[in-house]
Amino acid sequence: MSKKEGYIVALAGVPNSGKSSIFNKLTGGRAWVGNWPGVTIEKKIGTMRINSIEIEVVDLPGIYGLTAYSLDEIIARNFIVEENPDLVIVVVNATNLERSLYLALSILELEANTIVALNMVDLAEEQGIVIDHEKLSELLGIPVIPTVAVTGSGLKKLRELILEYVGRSKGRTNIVDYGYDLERAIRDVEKILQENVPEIIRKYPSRWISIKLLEWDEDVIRKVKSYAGGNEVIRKVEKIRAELQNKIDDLELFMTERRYQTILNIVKEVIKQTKAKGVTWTDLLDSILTHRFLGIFSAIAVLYMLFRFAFEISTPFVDLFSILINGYLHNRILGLKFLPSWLASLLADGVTNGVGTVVSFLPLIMMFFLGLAFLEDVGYMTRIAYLVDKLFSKFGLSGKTVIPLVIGFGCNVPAVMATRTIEDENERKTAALIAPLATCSARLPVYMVIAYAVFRQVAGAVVLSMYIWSVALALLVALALRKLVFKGPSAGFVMEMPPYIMPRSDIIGMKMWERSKRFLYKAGSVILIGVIFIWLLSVTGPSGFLGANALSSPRLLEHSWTGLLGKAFSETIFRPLNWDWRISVALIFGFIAKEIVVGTMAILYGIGESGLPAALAKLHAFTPVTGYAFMIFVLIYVPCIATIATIRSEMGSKYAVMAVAYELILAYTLALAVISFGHLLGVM
Amino acid sequence: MMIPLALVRPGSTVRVIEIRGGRGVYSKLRSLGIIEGKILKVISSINGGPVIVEIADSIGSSPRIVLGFGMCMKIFVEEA
Repeated sequence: MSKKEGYIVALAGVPNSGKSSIFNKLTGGRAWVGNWPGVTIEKKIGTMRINSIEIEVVDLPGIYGLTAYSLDEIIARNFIVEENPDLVIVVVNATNLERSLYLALSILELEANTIVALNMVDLAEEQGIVIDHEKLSELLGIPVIPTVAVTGSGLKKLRELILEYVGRSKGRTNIVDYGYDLERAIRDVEKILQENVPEIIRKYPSRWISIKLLEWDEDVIRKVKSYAGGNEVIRKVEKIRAELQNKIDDLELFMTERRYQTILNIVKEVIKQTKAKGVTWTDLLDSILTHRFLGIFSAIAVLYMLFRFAFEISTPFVDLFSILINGYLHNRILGLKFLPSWLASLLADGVTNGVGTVVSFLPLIMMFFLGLAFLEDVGYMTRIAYLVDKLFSKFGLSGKTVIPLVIGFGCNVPAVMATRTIEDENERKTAALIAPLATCSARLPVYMVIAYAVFRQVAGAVVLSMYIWSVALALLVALALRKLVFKGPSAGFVMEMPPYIMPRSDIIGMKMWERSKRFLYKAGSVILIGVIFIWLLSVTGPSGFLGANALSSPRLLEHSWTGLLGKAFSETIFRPLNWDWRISVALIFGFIAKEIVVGTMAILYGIGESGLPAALAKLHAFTPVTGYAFMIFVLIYVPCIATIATIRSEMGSKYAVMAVAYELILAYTLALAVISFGHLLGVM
Repeated sequence: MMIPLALVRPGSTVRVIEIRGGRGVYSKLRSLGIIEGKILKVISSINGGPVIVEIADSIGSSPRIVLGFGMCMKIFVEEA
């Protein structure tokens, strides 16, 4: 290793190989997350330090090969060929060597300086698979180190190897022998490259380029064509391909088969299967959990338990938070005599109450995401994706979309981000746009208040109906989007279903925190700006500054810009819906975040939040029909500006505007439909 | 007799004879190890919906793979 700062190490691996765990262990969990240029595929970069040498670790997308058919694979291979990392670590899944080796061979063909982390050797041994890693290293011609990322076993050795191998150069390998005819063709193409585009083979490995040209890899063809003389090369390659096809009818298939043959030969030499495969826990569980009927019932039961778990555990903490923030902290700030009264009001009524109300949901969100991370890591969410795939495919989505939707029941912001895992572009965009229809935990208190105020005995059923509406509308809007905006056939649904495992608590904890953090971050940025804006509109009016106590005085608030705006809405567009100005104001505030709706109504009706349902009932603020229309409206219209900001950063302003537009129109139309239906039935 | 994978009864073991699909479909299946000649065990399936398979002749354990209905109509298999 030469003495040079700024080494870059790339981490590659198939999905479910434990690549992320290795990444976290190497970098100590400190990572910078961004996007790969031009796409919304997550790029994670961390740094590791060995003996005061700093090495940047780039986490490549989880992939099975390096073809030009999937965006993830193109990203990974372009990173390797264009950025020339000083070392590539291939994380190989020891329980399924065959599949992981395909990727390893593809990377070796790129002539990258590579080492292999043979991960999950403990699991493999449990299944009776013993791998001779020294033999594997000999056959591949590169170092192989057995690891168990989750426990950290082998990681010290891996670091030493990284230090030893980083920056070395790697010569050409003929790891796969393509047979007499093809090998000759490869040599011919290499010669053509040498003669026509010498620049290209100074930049890329010439054997690899030749193999890819013979495979007719569109991305590589584009690369070659971008050089002067490139078109000439392609013409010649076409001729060679035509000649070859006299002997081999499907070149690409033939080449894949040769690679598999190489893999099989390697696997046979290095694996000793000591135990026969018996019936596993996974077999037993899957016979129930993926059963076409039993599976559905189990899924409903499991998801119900997830909600119960989150709500039961978090309720005392949410109450405590809101007492501390909205009560204690709020009053303490108001009591600070040295602050000018407007500033105290901004900090207390605006920032503390507004952001505080949002933040007080943190325990609920954390518990929900904790439960969800557990279900994901056990391996259960992929089973749910399997079960719903048939239903979802009728709406132009694949089963995978169920995961962002379920996340959305916790918080829409991480839900929009979770759509990144959907490979098909049209499907991913559709999923991101319907994610806000998943009724997040912030909307529940609104339903509760209205349901207890007007529906009493059937309150539970009414709240449940919101969840049914939520799923139904998400699917229907998806269908409309797939038919009108994101047209095109569905990419085939393919998903790996890993065996059930007992997840590790630190990994679940990290996953939970990652998502909860996004919620917190948004509360602290977009929502903070929103509440300050609303505070301004509420303490001022046509007559100027109304005084800092406007927010706690319904009478004063009535004359603020907010009050006037509420009236303007209730007398015009909300008139057919029979919502008074206070409800209108609550909805306007709710644009910022749904957590604020109940608090606003409490202020405007001059009553504490706990007494709100009773007060609403007494005042007859809602009839069952207007109340239900209100709930429907809250379900559908813009969940919070943070979600919209996320859609914007993921997909661009155009789609953010589209999301707001469809949500407002749909919310209004359906609320109106509820009212009209009520009229028809004669209940008002 | 060659039939699409989508129509195979759960519990059967079949051999992949032909994959009819675009290059994208092809390459994706191949990188998962589903290629002509492989023996698949159908673990579970939903009528008109996805199928769960396991590669039966792989060395070591094969994780299960879920293939959507459309995909399964492109994979032609024979009783093995």
